[in-house]
Amino acid sequence: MIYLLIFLCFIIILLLHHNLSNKKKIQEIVKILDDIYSGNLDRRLVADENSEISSLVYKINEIVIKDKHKLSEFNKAEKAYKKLVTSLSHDIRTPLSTLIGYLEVLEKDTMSYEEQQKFIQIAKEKALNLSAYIQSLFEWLKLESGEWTYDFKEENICELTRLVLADWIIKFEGNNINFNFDIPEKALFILIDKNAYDRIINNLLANMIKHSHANKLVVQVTEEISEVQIAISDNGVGIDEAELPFIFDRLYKCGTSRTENSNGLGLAITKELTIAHNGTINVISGYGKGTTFKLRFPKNMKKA
Amino acid sequence: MNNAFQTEILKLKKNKMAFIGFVFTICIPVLLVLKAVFLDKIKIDYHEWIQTVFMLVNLVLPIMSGFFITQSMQKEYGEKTIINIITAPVNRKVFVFSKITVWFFWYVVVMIVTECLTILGSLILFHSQVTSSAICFTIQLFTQIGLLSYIAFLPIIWIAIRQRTLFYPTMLSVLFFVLLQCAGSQVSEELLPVACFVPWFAIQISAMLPANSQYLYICIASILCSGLLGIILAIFEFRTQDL
Amino acid sequence: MENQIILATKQLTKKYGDVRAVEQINLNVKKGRIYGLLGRNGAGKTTIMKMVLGLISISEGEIEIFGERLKGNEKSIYTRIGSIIETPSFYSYLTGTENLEIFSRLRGTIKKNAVKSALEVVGLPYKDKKPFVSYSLGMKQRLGIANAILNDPEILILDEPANGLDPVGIVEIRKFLQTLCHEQGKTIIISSHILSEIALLADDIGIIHDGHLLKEFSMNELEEKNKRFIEIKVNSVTKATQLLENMMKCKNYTVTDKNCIEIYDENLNTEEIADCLVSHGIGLSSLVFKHETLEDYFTSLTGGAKFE
Repeated sequence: MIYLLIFLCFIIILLLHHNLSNKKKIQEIVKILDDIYSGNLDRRLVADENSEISSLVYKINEIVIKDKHKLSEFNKAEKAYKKLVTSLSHDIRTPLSTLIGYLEVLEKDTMSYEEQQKFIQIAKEKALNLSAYIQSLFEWLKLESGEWTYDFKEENICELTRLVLADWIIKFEGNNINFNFDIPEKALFILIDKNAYDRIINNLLANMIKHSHANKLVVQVTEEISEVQIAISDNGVGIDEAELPFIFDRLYKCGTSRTENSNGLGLAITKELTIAHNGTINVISGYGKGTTFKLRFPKNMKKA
Repeated sequence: MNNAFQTEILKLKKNKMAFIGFVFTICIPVLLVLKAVFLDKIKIDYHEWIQTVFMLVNLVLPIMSGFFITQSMQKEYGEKTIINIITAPVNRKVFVFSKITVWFFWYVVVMIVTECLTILGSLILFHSQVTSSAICFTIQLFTQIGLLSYIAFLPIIWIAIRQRTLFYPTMLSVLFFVLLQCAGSQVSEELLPVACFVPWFAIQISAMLPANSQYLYICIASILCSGLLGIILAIFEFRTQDL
Repeated sequence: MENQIILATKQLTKKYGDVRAVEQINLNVKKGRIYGLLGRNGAGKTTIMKMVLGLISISEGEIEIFGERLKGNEKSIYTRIGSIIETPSFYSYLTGTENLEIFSRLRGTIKKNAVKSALEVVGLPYKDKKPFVSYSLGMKQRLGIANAILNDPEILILDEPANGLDPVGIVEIRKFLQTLCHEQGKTIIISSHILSEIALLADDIGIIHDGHLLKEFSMNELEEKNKRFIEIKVNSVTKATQLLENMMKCKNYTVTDKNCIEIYDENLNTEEIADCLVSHGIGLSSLVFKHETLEDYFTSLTGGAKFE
């Protein structure tokens, strides 16, 4: 009888001890959570894998780790944003100060008529470039903040491409570029925003004219099983293979183009617009090997 | 403490010494049974057989037990795993207790299996003579001596901690204690009162004394003292030890 | 945001009898940076680390970690520290996974399958059958690291983690530690006697010599303080020094070798120096801009021959 009593006492003591130790564990957890709350996201809760609170503890840790990631992403983005703002202001200030410089010289009125005309021409060009840049900038900002509204309609991509290219023919001839357009007669319909597509092609062609120093251009539209591919190739100086992964990053300027008044936004905008159509853009190039941009749009796209 | 104990059990699984010690000890009743069946020409007496088993087990088990704890502690120092344990962090006191506990666990398992095999063996060999009271007596004797021996040997863990990676001083101490334990059964009447105060003599003496003898209490007290002293010294030694 | 001090030792001392192994160490480790403890073998680096981790008793002094006194808060503080002290020490006949399972039980875990994740991070197989005794040294170090990061600790204390590794292994560890620190914000205290590695890895340095902390500084400070000098090699040092003093009015130089002079005067024009020396018939075989490296600084502080 007495053994039974001793046994029962033993069990009761065990249960009490268990209860107390759980209470203590919970207190410790609360203390650690206080530390996490005050900003220390590196703190982790520790538990035995087999204890009752282990899944609770693990979940809390997962949440804290996620928060930490978010915070560090946010900090990175903030840093990148600050960098962007600095470089943008530089990109606007420089051409603007050059422009003002030219105008100041013109004001002095100590030049010949021809010189004046020349300077006025240069100043106008600089002003127009700056205007185009600011236009791109606003477009890009609109894209980034998600405010660009798309108007997707089913269009014949072949006809659209022809229309865009038609405007460029004069520029090509003016720059001695031999062009070859390989666009099928058949109508290929995809859901597309006309303005966006214009922008995409215009950006790519402007890029080509400015940087590639090519004299041959091929634009090819081909139909694949589930996609339409538009390839724009030139035989120009090409882009170094090492730089290829970065060219679509905003503000990225390839080594050679740093001095020219170009901006890294053009390709970034192109890429954003392409992606909005559920499309993809690739580039194949090498130093001295010419450049090919390949756009792919799906044939049956759900309205975004 | 629970976790420390469980990790010691995990370590036991691949511990060769634990396995060897276990096998050696439980072999004794098995071999003696086989000997009695196959080798003995004359049928041996039940009590004599039990005595033989008893004597051999009480020689081999303490030795194996001592070797077990020596190797267990020495390995921690030698492989420097003790550094990883203490920095886990594990309280130093808890570490010592976990070693003592797993030692006890191993000891009890070996002891119980040996007892079972002995009883089984005795049933096989002498089933007519084996009464339930005889079985009870066997269990009581084995268990008493076994537990008292374990407790009296606890100072070994202190020596093992002191000696760190050296195992032979600890082994020698084990053998010395076993010697004393065996000698305890040979103590004469006159020396009995004195011998009771020596824990390792007292182990065997306690088995030989009548139930009401006051010397029994002295024996048990001295053994408990030895055990307690062993634990306290071990904790003390380890607490300030530079690893 | 100035990094706060996450680990500080105050007058930390260790005596063995009358011998003072480590004396009055005042370390200050900043959060989220890599702290390199630099010193020769036997200078006391491991002793300091062991005292911080509670492996060796402290004779005098105090330790503060995470803004709390260490004494009395050991359990909660050590749970937040991962370490490798001495060659990775694991049970020989257990596999890597079994070893980690033992230690993860002792430490507690922060997520499900913590052992599997830790092994993945260091690139060791999970639940394989190879016992620890047959691991290569590189694998042993990696298991040690897996054990140290098991709990996602805030501080890592590593005693010579690149010890015995081949050059590729050393680079791997360096990159890994840099990721841990710069991407995950961990604080790392690492001891080494390989100056070149510490110079590449550490943000802050503490120089230990003969049990004393000689100096604590950040690598940035060192680079700024770096004495830039012009090193010239000439065929006649005596004539050259005379010219420097009389013609170029330069007193700030030292002769470091029988043909070599280091000029610290930054205002001097190298063309002028070369011109002056050559026009007076002194053979000038080399003229180089140099700056003091960590190794030079270390040697000058500890006043000894260079070592590896």
